[in-house]
Amino acid sequence: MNRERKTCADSEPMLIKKVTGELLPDEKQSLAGHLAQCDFCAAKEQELTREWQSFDSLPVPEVPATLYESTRKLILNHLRKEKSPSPSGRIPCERAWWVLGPVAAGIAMTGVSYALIRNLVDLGVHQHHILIALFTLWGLLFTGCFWLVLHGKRKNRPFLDAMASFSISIAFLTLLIFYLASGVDALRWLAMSAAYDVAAWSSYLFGIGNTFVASWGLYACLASFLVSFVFGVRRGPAFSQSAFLGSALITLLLSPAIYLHGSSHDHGYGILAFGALGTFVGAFAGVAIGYMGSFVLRRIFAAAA
Amino acid sequence: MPPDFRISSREGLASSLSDEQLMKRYQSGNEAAFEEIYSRYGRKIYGFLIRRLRQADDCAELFQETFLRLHKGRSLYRPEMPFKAWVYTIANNLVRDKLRSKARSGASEVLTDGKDRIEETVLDGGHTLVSFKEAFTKLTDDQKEAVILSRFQGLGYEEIGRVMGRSTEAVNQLIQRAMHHLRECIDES
Repeated sequence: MNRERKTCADSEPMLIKKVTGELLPDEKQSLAGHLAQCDFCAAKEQELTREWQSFDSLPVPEVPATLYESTRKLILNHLRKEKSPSPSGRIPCERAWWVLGPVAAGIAMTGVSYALIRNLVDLGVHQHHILIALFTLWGLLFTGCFWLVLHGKRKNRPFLDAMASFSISIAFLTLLIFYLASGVDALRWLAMSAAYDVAAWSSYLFGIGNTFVASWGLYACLASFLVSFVFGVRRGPAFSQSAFLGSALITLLLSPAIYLHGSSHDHGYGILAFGALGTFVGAFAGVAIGYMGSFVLRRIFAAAA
Repeated sequence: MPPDFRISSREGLASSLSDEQLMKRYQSGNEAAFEEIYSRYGRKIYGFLIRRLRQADDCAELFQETFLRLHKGRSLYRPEMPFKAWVYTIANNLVRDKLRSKARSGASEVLTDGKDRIEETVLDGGHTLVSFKEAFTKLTDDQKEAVILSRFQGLGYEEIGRVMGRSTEAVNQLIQRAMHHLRECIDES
């Protein structure tokens, strides 16, 4: 009796698999053997089959005719628009915005960036053609980033979208911190002290350290932390992971400012390159801390909820 | 235009093609290919949505959205991927988002009398599968999803795995558990 009970219990999952048509050949054989001997399981199998088949007897719901037609027309209209041979059809107004939007946003962002770092622009030191080239490059970089944001949304590639929006936000915030740190006396003292300490530690640990490099690293670190923390808390830490890869883009976006700062203090190209490296390291570290902070905070919120 | 794209407007030929071949033509803007895909999957997708959401308004919205996403994302489709799993993944993701947003807004998922579409589909020539319906509503979301895709939509376990982002074994377990639960509920009633 006990043995039969055990066999019956073992055969139940197989019965379900038989009914759903997922039984393997050797399972089929062993189940058939058991069913031939056990009336209880044979009856159970029939009942189960009947119940499962009742799914098949359910009528398939009809799509409402109006919905079916309207959806069909909607898609066909989209298809026809795509195939439209007229120039206006090929380049619809919406598409023009995809081109003009990032350019306008890029120019605006360059203007804002100039306003934030204008004390670094010294016409006595910087030649006109260098400045034009630098701000054109800046405009192009920002335009490219805004294009990535729009392109990412359109092509449903949230990674591009997230990375570019992170980079723009962090670059802007870094410039804002730089502006505040160089414009407000108390903050300037604080920033310079912190940069001096970081440079001293770097010199102690790696044998190389510079306040110029350390200051850009610190600004980028602070900005990256704030952005990735805020975004991480709001949209999940996984979202801020995109910013890790964005660290390089952030450095690129900040490079004109780093160049202007370095050249106005008569730093050489070597130290400018170190400035960029420091910014990259700072941005990377800032994102990592922000990511971890947002992760911990969300876990605490989740536990409390 | 390559010849194989020109001849597809003939309905007979379009209907003899596989979903993946049709999708390839649809990617290059072939209307007949779209019409064929739509006629093959329109009703199935609607059936899936109505069984998952039970509200006609939500279904109408997601039905249109599913085909719109399919249209907009068709360039991302790769023929190596089974089309059936792909289109159900789109619909299933939309359903999940919808259910999530409803849960957030506090909307109850409890069936409402008179508006219960499942009940309508359960009624069959006077034979009411009330116990089945009740048992079905008690399944977890994942179990419902797996059972609907398996039994109503006719997807294989591997295809369901792709749609749900789970392994075939996990799908098997989900369905087995669902079946076990359905049986228990029916036994009790």
